[in-house]
Amino acid sequence: LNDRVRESELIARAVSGDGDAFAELVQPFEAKVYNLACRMCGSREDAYDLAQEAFLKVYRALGRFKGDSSFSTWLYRVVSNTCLDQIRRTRRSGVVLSLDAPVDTEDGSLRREPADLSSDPEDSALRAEVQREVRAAVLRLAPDHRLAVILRDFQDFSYEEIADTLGWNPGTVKSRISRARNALRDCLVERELLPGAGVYSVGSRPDAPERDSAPPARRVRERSASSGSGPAKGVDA
Amino acid sequence: MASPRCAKVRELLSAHLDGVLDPHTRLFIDEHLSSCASCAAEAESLKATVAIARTVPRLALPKEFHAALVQRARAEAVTVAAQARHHRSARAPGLAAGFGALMSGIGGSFRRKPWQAIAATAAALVLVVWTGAFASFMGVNVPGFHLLGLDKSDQQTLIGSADDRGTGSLPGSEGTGNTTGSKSPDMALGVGGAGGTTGSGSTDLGSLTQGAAGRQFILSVYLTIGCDKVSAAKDRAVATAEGAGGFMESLNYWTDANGLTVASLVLRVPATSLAPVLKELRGLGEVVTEQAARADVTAQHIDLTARVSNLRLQEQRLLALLGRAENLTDLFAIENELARVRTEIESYDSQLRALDEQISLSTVSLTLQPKGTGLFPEASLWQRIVEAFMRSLKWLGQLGGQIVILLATLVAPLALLALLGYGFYRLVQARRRRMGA
Repeated sequence: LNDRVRESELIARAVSGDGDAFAELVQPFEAKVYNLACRMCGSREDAYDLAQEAFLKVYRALGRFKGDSSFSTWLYRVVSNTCLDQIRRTRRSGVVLSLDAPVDTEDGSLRREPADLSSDPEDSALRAEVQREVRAAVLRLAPDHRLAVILRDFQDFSYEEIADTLGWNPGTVKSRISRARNALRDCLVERELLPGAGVYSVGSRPDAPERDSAPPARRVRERSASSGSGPAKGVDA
Repeated sequence: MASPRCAKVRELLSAHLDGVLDPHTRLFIDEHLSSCASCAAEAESLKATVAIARTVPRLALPKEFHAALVQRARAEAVTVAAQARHHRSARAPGLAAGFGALMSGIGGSFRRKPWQAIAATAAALVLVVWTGAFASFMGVNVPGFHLLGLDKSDQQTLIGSADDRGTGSLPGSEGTGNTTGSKSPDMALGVGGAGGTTGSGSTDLGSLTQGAAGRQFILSVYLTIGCDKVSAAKDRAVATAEGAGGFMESLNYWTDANGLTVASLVLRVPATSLAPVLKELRGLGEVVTEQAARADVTAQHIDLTARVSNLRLQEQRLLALLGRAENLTDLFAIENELARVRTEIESYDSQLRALDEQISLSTVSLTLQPKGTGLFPEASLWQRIVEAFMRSLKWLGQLGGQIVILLATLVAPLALLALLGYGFYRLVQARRRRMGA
């Protein structure tokens, strides 16, 4: 309860123009938001700018925070929307998220991350490759699907939290997470990073039946998702 | 595998993995997976994918991130504050603005066509005169006009005069800044009809007392009532307030210039029963004026509560330290600090209590006067015509005064401008003559 009181005190001070109070208010979220931005846009530098921009947006919009939801939910909503806007803008301006470029940017600092997963160097190298592939595959997803899977699997949000944050209904949350995960899986299978590629015949492409069952309104998005993965496949071949 | 059942199952695998499906669906999928190898393999690979995604390490936040954000937030705060200042000054269009426009109009006239300068000057003059006239109107309460005044801060004031008989409500505007006037019609306060139409005042005070959920308001009502017997009405008013759990805070009797006795009393009434009490009070006679204001003190309240709770924590910590103090110096230091913290707690606590008291008890300032007197006496038509004429004369006089003041203000700059203009004219003449030669 004390945290809540402290939070509302900081909010009140920040709304009245106290920048330091705002910085204190959002400090607990900085790392998570930065990670979210990083997974969304794929480059550390862009993520840095994007996260800063998102926080400033939160600051400017703070006066409109009414306390209907928790502060963190509201903050993530603003941040998520900022990320989505940014991604859509980059897309429209013709900057193609290529398979290699953003991943390389992130890779440049991969050395600093501890190779914590296994002591076996070969295994850890494989893991790193698989992880890199997942990150790259995430960037090829449609923005909505990308956001869904990032919040669920990278940030460990619950389905309810995602629904609250993004204002999606539960069914939408489920289907977007499902599609995103299936697309990631396909990427890994395609690159033979996931065993058992032979099991999935051509007919078992999971997105095929799904696309048919998708309601018409969602097809547009689905198409943009597949067009996003277009250039990546080109690189592959 | 092409069975529709497989397709359905595959659509649900992701949610199944997270255990967010209802038991019935879960059972259906589990059964299917145990019998369909292809779907089971698909489930396995999806599980593996999620597991891999979850091992992608978190990136460390760059060290400079927080410092950069603090800096940008501070810079932002400056502009936010500047905007707030700008907003405040924009609310009071004053003589300064008009004068500024006037000066820029004159200044520009050197380069522009003369009629533009004249138009600008005229516009500025109109602005100044209008401002002055408006100010003078604010002071004079002319029958037929009802003025909606918004106080400088969060206060919301709705004034109705006895003359707007037909209209039960006035448009208001939310003064709290965040929300716009969508709720405002609810906020309007009805005014009891004067003269023949007594008791027709429709009141919507319920919305004033309730307001937005979770917000806290201080409510004040100013009521002037014309009644047959002032002292009897006063007794009934006090009884009404006490009946509702309130009390009389102050009472003041005086005799006005016409030898009539007027009672002015301040009643404190629980906010929850303000509406019924007001209804009672209006029944005491004819409502001459009624005005209500509510001030939003939610932020103030939260702030005080937070301070008190923080200080209480500090007090606890100090008490714990006191138990462990090892020497006298420490003991004194802690005792001093403790005394300071307790004084602060006292001070904030009493502020908080005062605030709570004001929130829970609304203030009704009631003026009781003999019927047919006071702010809007029942005057004959002729009297009213004469009065209106006199008032317009007075207004004209004030207008004249404003103009004289304006001209006096302008004497020095105009003289300077004339001098400059003359110099310029001579310069041009001289050049033209030289060109001619």
